[in-house]
Amino acid sequence: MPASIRKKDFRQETFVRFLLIVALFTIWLGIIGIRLVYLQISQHEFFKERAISQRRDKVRKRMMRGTIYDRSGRALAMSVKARSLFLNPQEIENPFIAAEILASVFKFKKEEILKELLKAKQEGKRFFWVGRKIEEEQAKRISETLQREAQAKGLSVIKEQITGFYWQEDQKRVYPLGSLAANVIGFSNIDDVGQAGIELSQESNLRGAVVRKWQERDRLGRVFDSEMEEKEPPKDVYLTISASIQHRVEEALKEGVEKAKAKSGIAIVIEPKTGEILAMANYPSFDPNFYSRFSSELFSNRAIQNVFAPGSTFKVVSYGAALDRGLIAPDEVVDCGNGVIQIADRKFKDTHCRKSFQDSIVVSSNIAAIRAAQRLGEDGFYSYLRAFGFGEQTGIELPAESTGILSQKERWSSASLASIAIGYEIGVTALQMALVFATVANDGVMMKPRIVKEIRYSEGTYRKMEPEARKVLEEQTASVLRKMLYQVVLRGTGRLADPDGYTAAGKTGTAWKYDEKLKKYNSEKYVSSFIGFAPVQKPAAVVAVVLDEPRTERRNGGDVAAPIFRRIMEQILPELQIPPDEALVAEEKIETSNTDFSEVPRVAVQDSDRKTDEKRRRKRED
Amino acid sequence: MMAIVEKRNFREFDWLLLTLAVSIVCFGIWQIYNAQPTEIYWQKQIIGLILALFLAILVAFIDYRVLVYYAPVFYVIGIILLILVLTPLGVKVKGQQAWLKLPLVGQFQPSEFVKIPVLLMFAKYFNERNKFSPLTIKETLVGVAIIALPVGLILLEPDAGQALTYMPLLAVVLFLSSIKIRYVILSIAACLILLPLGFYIGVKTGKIKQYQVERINVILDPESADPRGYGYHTLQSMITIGQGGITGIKGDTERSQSALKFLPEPHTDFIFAVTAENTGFVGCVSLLLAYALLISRLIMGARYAPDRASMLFIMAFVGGLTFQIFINVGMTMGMVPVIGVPLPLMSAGLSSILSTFIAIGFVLSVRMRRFVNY
Repeated sequence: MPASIRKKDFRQETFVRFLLIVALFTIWLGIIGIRLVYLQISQHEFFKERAISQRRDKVRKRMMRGTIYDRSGRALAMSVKARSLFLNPQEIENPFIAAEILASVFKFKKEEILKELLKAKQEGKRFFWVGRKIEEEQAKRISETLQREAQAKGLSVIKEQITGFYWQEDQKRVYPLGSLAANVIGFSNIDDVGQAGIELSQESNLRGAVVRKWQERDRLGRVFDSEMEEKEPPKDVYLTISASIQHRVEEALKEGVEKAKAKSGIAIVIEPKTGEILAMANYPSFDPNFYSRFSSELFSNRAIQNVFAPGSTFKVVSYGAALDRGLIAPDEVVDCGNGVIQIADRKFKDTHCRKSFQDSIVVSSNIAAIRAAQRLGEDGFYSYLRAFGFGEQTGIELPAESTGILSQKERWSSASLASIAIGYEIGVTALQMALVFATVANDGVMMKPRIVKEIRYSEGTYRKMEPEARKVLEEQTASVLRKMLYQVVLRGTGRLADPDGYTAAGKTGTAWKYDEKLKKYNSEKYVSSFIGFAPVQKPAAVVAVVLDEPRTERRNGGDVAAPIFRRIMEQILPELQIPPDEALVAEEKIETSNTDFSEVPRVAVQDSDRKTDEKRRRKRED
Repeated sequence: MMAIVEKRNFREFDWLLLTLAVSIVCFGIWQIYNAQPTEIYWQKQIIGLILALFLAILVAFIDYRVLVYYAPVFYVIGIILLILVLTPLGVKVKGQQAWLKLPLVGQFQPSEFVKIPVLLMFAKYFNERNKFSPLTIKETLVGVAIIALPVGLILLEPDAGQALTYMPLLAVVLFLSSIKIRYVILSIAACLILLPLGFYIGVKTGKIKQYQVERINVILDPESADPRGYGYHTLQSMITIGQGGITGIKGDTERSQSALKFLPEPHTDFIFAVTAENTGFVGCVSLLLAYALLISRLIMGARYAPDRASMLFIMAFVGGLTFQIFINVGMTMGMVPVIGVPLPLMSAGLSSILSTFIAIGFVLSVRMRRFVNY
């Protein structure tokens, strides 16, 4: 029957189609299964990462950089909260209006900022600094003005934020006392990294660590969990510098340099007992708050970086060494022939003849100093030069300290000994010279100079810098030298250095500058200096004043540097609570002027000298 | 007579089918809780399940032939409801006027329920035609007409996703009513050509909106799509599923994608992603197997259906159900564009669960009466 065949066919057909549908389902199910395996098994880690990264954000925040204080706790350099403004050029709706607004708020030229902004946008940059390290208060004002302007000009402002404008938390380094001790403190750059001075040398202590903070946020930006890295907070640095002494020294130096029409000047104040630097001044200087406006030449701390031929102040080393070995006596008369001595190819002239060593130093006789060095011989003299630390860094906690120039004994010419004896053929820093006088003032013990008093940790503990001492001269030698140097101020080249009310001792120095181009000393250019200490009996401060190229008529150290020394001493000694001693000493004057130098026992000196030599050797081996 | 029927009824009652459906809903309630623990969706869903169970059993005890007989009545009621939705009685949610708020009944989604009368109409009409000849053009057009009316109204809401779920109902019915294979091939070919063409023209003329283009682009290349735009949903869903791994994010529920609001609509359209995140690959496969079991059980019901009407009803229902599952799951896994189609039995939503259980009730009714001849 056709009908039944058809019916059977139809049923067959329906069944086949039925199966087809089921097959389709199965295939689809298989595809879904494969996709599931792909998403959940093979790509699981990838998606998990994405899930984490979209809810987690990492905030990097730098801790506030440590503060630099002076010895009495006055802040010299500190960081304050600030904010920086940057744009995302890609998000800026209208660069023209944005440039207009920025030009009106900041002191930009509209065309320039527009050009830069458009360029940044074209290059696909997402970061465009507008203003960095704006102090909080000012930032707030700027932000408000910007918003007002933006709204008025039709930019969208959402939640106090102009689209594409971003404020970032930042910190700013401020130097409350401006240029005070600028060459010592140095400065740190826009990324808060120390670039000079204490800021550089104490970078590891001052540096604010970057603390990473993770925040987990939901889609609406609500933080529901956060985690913060533990980092050691930065430390504060206390300097040995006294801000008030530094200020007085800087004032005195400035006046002195201007008076002498000098190119520049250096003044250092050291406490001889401890080696602590109370002041270290450079003139001209700079203001670290606006360091970028100054020539980088002004950044260096010339007191430890500039090397010069010391000239006559160096005679103290020659005398000191010879005295220490017992090779000269102050009252011994120096034979200087007819005022000219010839050593090798060089002639040394002197107008002061037939005088005792004491009187020779008072008038700064060259030949007397040369004779003293000659008695020591090259070996003896060289060992004292080394003992005083010439040719090496003093180790003060400041960067880029110069070693000075002291050529190896083996390379000395036959005239070298004589030249060095009077402060030529040797390069020193002002600090090195100041330390020689500090040693004399401190009974022959040289204290390692220090400018960092202590490091304070955030939890209140601190690390004190321990003084380091080394014996260079015998106590007796130092005492004799002090008396000799007192005479220099009292009746010699250093008369202008005599402070009111106090006794002072010191030595003038006037040296020709070595000309790199001419390869010889230029008699036109001077380095004039005065280094000394006060009071003579119990020196409380060593002051070194060095002027570079004074150009006045009278430009010797005694003329231009000594008055500065005087002024400094007169101002700082009362501050250091040192009672005036001049009246006291005046009564004993007769006694002092007729000092019996025979108290220096020569044999004993020789003996102890061997001991110190041994000590010195041990020290060097250390 | 009644007593005999009832006794037989119980013997033939498909406990497995009902248990499977209820289990999936329970599993769904757990996932709704995972998705939105602080909201009341999961509690509402429990009430929905109880209501749905009641409705399914009620429908099971009504003779399905009566339901098929009165199909036009239900159909008219359904159309009236769909028209009412468009009147001020309708409630607008997220730009779609798909809900109807009636006194006593409360708020519901007529487009979910209208599937039942449509299925009944199909069953009635294609049962009564000449069973043994291929479909004529006229018969095909009648089938299209039955579905065109409600789909047109739904598109006015507009709810394209819901409208789309009506298509497989027609497709299955036509296919099983021995439409000529060449028409099938022709329509598939037409789809393959017309869909991209229509899409292209739509984009060009602006009829297809930018967000719709974005939804399609994100399937083709999820990485480069705008992560904050419309591609966002798909990308977040894929991240959510991927994060689940093999066994899910045990114990770290406060960091789940849905708790952090990264996953949109976690309790409805993206419930599968939530399941994947919380129960992992194991949970997903179990769920899919449960669906496969449910569907095969339904197909079994269709296999042994006593008449063509009930067979068509069940198979069309299966077609619709399967289509929804695939579209929804495919959407969450970034295989098909984001279409607002709920996952049957899993997604929160009373209308969807009630309508599905009514259809299941119909299948139960068919099975109970498979040996009964009036």
